[in-house]
Amino acid sequence: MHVIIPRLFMSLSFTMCELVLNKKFIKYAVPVVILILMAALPSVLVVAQDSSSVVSSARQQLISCYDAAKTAEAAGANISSLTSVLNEAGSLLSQSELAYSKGDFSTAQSLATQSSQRLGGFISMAGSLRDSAIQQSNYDFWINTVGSSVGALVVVLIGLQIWRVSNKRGTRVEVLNDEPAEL
Amino acid sequence: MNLRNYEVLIVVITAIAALIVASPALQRLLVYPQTEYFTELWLLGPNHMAEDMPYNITKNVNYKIFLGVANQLGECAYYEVQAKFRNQNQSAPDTFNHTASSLAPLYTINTVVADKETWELPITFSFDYSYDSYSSQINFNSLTFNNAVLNLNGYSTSWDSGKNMFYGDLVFELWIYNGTIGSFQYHQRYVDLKFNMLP
Repeated sequence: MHVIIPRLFMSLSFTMCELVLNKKFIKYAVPVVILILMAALPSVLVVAQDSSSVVSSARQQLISCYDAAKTAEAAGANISSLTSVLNEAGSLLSQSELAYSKGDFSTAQSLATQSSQRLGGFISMAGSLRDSAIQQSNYDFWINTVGSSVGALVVVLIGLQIWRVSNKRGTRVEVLNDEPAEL
Repeated sequence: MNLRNYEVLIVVITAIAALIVASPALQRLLVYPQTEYFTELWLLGPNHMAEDMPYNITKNVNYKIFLGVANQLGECAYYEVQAKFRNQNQSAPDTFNHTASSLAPLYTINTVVADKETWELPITFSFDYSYDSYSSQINFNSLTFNNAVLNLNGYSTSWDSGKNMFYGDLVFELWIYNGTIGSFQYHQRYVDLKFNMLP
């Protein structure tokens, strides 16, 4: 029995070798291997393409949010809360791009998605800040600019009136003092 | 009481009161306009001062620096800081021609800075490399940059007999997003740290 098993093994090995070296086998095996590889490769390319589009989309979203923050700032809003969010999303995007460059597509996609999620609701938040800033700016204009200008004018008019009254009283006193004494 | 004697006083008090009441409006008119628009970029050492910058580098040892950007452009800006590494023979940013290095960035830092605001990033980095005594060359493996491992395979530096060092240069270029063209452009400023890599 112990002699039969090695012989069986050896005969099987020889059979395998004959098969491999058989030209006909090669003729049919090679195309099959190529077909298997061709079936697997697109799936890798699809993953890479998906990641690329997610990363690209996250980048584009960051740019859109930056534009919204810029508009809010131009209206006079304090955008420090907005820039804080943008920088967090930007940091995730940087890590995503690094992962993509290393070929770690799943991590790249995950980080890009996190970046996008961090920017959820950002544009409406920026819009609210912008609208508040515009309202505050209008209030400041009417109260501070127009109101203070009118107030200054009132002060000048009051001062002018006081000066006129003082002028009239002064003239009357002078006239009274100038009247000749009755003989 | 003769108010006429107090005419001058009345005029002066009226003028001062009018100026005080009008000051909120005057503030808007008398604001000195900004005439210079620029961005500041700097590197600071581990003690947050412009000193004790890392120079003699030992492999796998952590070094700390601070990278800062201040926006004086009059509006919010989206910056990209590109970290690059080069030896003495590779492309460097050109101050005279205002051009960036042609090397690909190892890492890109995205940051948005509001007008008249400052942004700062603490950076901890270390290099992994090997020394080939036969060719007197340092071959880099990686740069760890704030826990991100950047691949430096293919990067090397040879002994510089003129400077007596194994030269390494970590460059931070500042790029800025241009909404008109829809892409980043080199903002014509960079900071860098030159190292002597110890075998």
